[in-house]
Amino acid sequence: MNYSRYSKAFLAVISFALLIIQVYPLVWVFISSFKAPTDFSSSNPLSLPSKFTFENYLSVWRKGNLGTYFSNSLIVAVTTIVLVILFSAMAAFVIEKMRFKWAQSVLFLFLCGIMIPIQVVLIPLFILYNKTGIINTLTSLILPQVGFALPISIYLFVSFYKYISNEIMEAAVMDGCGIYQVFWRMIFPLSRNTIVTVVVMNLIFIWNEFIFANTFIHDLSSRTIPVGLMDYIGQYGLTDWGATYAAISITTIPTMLVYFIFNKSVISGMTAGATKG
Amino acid sequence: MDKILRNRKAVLVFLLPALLVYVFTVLAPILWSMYFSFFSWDGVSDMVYIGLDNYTKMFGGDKTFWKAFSNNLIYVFIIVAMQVFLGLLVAILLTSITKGRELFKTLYFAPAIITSVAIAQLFTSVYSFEPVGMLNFILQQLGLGAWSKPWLSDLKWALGAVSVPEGWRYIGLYMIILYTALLSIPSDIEEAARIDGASSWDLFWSIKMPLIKPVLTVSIIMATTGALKGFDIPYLMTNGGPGRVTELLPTYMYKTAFSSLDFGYGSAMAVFIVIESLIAVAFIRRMMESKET
Repeated sequence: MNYSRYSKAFLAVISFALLIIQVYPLVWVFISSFKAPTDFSSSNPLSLPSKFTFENYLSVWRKGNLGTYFSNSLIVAVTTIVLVILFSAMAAFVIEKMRFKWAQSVLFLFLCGIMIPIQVVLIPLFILYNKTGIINTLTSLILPQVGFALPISIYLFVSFYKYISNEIMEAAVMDGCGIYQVFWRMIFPLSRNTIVTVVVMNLIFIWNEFIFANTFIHDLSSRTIPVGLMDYIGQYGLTDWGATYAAISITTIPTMLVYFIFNKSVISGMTAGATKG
Repeated sequence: MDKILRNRKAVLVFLLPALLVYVFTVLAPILWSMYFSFFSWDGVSDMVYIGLDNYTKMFGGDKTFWKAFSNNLIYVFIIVAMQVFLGLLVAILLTSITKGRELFKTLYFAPAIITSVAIAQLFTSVYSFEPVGMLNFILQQLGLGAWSKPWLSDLKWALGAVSVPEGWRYIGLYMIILYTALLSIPSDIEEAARIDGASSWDLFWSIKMPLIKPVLTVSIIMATTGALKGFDIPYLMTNGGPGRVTELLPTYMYKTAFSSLDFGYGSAMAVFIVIESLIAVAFIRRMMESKET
């Protein structure tokens, strides 16, 4: 756009101010995680720590459960993502490439899932998992998360497969590939970029998932990170703020790392996930 | 070739895993919810068929339901205003910046990747009164100390206070969607309008807005349906309180089912949330389309 120099400077200042409002709270959490308990009773929450202390991180570590929560989150995330990638790539292959009469109806059925609010499945799944005894196990988190991740993942794979020409598949078949080999040896490896997008997008959603974990898990030993974070909020306002900020910082670092390394894929995945709704 | 692609067994092998998980975790539960909504049931004793009683109770006699419903509308309004209108504003600002766009986008999007539990805790401390939190401290520094208050327990302000974090975390998401739409407008359209003497303001209202309208419609739909399902942050920050001033339909539904163990009534509310979202989508589409003529 053609703006005058002054309005340009003005807009830059506003943008910068908005950026600070958006990002400062996150920076502030990180800074505050190094504060000593006495700093929290001081009257200036924006001050820097009087001296940098790792005491909060040690106290989080001493509480001991964070390691368990981390490994639970990791198991849930890895298992869910592996299943989502396999299932959605395979299903999208059938829908887009194989001659199958119901392909479009099946796709439509999957895409409906993008609009469905999680709340509507909570009660039935709680009852079902209670009856089958998988409540309180990590399986009760993995299954519904695979189910809810499938629609958008299938959508992303289908959009990608549209660009793979049928000729190269034909060539492979001429060379003697069966249908399974066409998929595993050719289509699946070709979809590397889509796989990355699906992985990072789902990783962030799964790592942060709260409702299923809060509803289906009551054992301390099966908790994931988001629910585990609640340990640091005391009842009736007795909160160990230092430990809370340290715990938030530790648990946010993995998603931040993934985000800063793959930020293009994360953003494109999440906007695709959002705009198809 | 054709024969290989018609391989029925392979179709099943490829499709069944996804279809089974999807049916059992997403589709069938919706039907079960509808079914449960016609019963009185605590999950333990026998289910008792009560027809439409849950629905008549919901629409007729339950004041909390209507309170939660009207709270939810305010919640939707605040969130759509923040996500779509602030998001659009930032997107427009971004088109005017020449340096550091990528960094700006990356940083602006960052809150979207943090778990709602962390965001709820962050904002609880921002709003804190004793010890003084960030918001009250800034007000005091600006000489507006009289405005400082315990935001989350203030009956008038609590609903606004629990709405802001959800709006805040996703401004970046909508900013990027709208920014991409603005960028996709061909520059010759803009130049032609400039030559015809259009001001920046005309250019924006009469040319850019109509061109990005489809994306804007989708954004409003997403933000609205997202807010109608709003749960995590209000549940974690205030759990619907004080009183019922921050109760939303999803938090009320959740408490009804999992604290009061009234699964039938909870299911009726869950079904209502789905129908309400569908109506909202239809309504927004209609409204945005009718403006076009």
